[in-house]
Amino acid sequence: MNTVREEIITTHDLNDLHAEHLELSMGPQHPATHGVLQIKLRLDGERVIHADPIVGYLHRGKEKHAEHCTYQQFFPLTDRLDYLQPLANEVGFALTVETLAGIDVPLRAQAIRTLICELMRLSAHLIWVGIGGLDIGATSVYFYAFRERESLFDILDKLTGLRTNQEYIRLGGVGADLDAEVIRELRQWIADFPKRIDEFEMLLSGNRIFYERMKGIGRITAQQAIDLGVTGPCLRATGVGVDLRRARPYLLYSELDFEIPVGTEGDAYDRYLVRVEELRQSTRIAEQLLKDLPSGDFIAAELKDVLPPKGRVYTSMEEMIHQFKIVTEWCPPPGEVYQATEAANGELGYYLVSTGGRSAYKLKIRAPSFVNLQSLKPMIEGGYFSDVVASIASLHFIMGETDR
Amino acid sequence: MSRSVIPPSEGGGFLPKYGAAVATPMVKRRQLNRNERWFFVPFAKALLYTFTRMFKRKITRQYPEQKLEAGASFHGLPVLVEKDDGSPRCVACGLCEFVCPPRAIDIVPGEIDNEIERAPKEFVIDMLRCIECSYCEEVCPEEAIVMSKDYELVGRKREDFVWDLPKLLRTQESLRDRLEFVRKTYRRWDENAEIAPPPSGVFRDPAWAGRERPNEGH
Repeated sequence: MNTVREEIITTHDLNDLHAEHLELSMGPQHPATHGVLQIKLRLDGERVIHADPIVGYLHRGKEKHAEHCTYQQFFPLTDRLDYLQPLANEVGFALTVETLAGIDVPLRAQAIRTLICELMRLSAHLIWVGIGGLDIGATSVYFYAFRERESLFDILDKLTGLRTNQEYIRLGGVGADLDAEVIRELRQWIADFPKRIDEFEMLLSGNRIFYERMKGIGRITAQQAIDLGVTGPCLRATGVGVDLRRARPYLLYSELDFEIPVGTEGDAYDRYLVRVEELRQSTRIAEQLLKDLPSGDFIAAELKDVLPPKGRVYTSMEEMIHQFKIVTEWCPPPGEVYQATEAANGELGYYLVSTGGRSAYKLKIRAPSFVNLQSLKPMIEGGYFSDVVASIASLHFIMGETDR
Repeated sequence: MSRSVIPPSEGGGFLPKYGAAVATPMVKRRQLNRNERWFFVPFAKALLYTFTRMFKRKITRQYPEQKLEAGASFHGLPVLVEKDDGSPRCVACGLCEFVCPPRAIDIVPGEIDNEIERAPKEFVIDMLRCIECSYCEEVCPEEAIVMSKDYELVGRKREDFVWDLPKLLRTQESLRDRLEFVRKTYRRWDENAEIAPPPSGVFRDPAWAGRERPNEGH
């Protein structure tokens, strides 16, 4: 009489046993998925043969919200898109509405915005260096990256009043002027920062564990990246040098001197190298801007679009009426506009349709993380299960932005 | 390394064609050298780096003992400014209630018996909803609501966080920093604007001073 074991072997031959795949659900509470991403994996032993990223766990209906609140009220919601670089999101939205309404932003306000965009890129990439390293297993660099980010936020706190989700950008300019003390502290921070980048590189680039866990992992070709619509560092790592700061310059980028780092192989290690090089380039941009910040107003002097100065509001009926009108009834002319900016993760675009009302008729947010996430599938399919985390870490999508 | 050159995008063109777009510097991609392959030297270097951090300036703030020092630009919880007689400056115009993005403010206007005629009967801010964006402060035409320096918010039940008038009112003296900051910041592009606080009478326009009010008798 056959034992149970023998029975199994006789009823299923060895190939059939091998063909039984394991369905594994990774996330949405997995610490390495950077938020609430769920990936349905089908595993053949250690190999990933099928991956299915499932998004939507953090959906808050921001695009719908835009149809119900005034333009100024939407700014705090853009902060919470990519919460690692709140002000860059605000700048993108402000540029969109200003393009539609035809508001001229003074030079100083533009310079402050450019500076802030670069500081936000630094802060977002610092998180990448920290969390990305942590995902691979390099624990200590995480603390050093967060230390730098914390000291940057201390300065931003002085400027905007809040550490994160600052609500600093206004239509027509920014909320408060950059004062001498903040400029001095920023210069100091920027001057120290290249040394810190060297330290991060010393801790990561030459580390054999980090190197071998990143090299050749999550490789996509330039053609695949273009087909999927990948933008930002993930696209540039594949060798395509497209950066909206150069391709369609906005703010003051056309006048600044910086380079666009481009990778060669499009694997996780290249994405790391591109981001580290972008840290250096952003530092350069910030240095140039801080060297001679143009003087002038930090907000446009347009009585019909921008809140009037308080001194006049207190004393004159005309300005008092403007104050009420602008807050409650400000509307851009009817029209459509698409404005894209280069956020830390790629092309952050706002497509705005206005029918002349005080809130948008329709707002579509082209979130870079959402599009970049589509490249996860070709990256991890066919690879080992343990490399999934490295691919996720190197893509660095933000779920707040993906799900909106 | 060469500078990247992108042709200026013409009117209709959206992005320069991918691939042919730019000549840009490649990031340096290297092989591990012998030391690094052996792993010990970078490991020791990193360990040494971590070790020396022990003797550097500590940047961790020991929070409950060591409080954050908030400057004038800090956005704490919004509070109401009171006049010298202890009544709120607020005239219940409802502008902050309108602009508040999370709709944390709730005002019930009422009439009072002096020349201002309006004052809030109830003024409630739900501090759990408040995101400290300072929009209320920016739009207030009376300098009546400002951001305080309070950032600690503790309570035992939800009702503790819904602040009403007695909890919200603060003296001008205690908010001096912020009031000065507000006057400086929101003066903005107008060089000739007065920075003085709003006069507490209702008729600011000198042309109306001492005259009858326009809507009297209706």
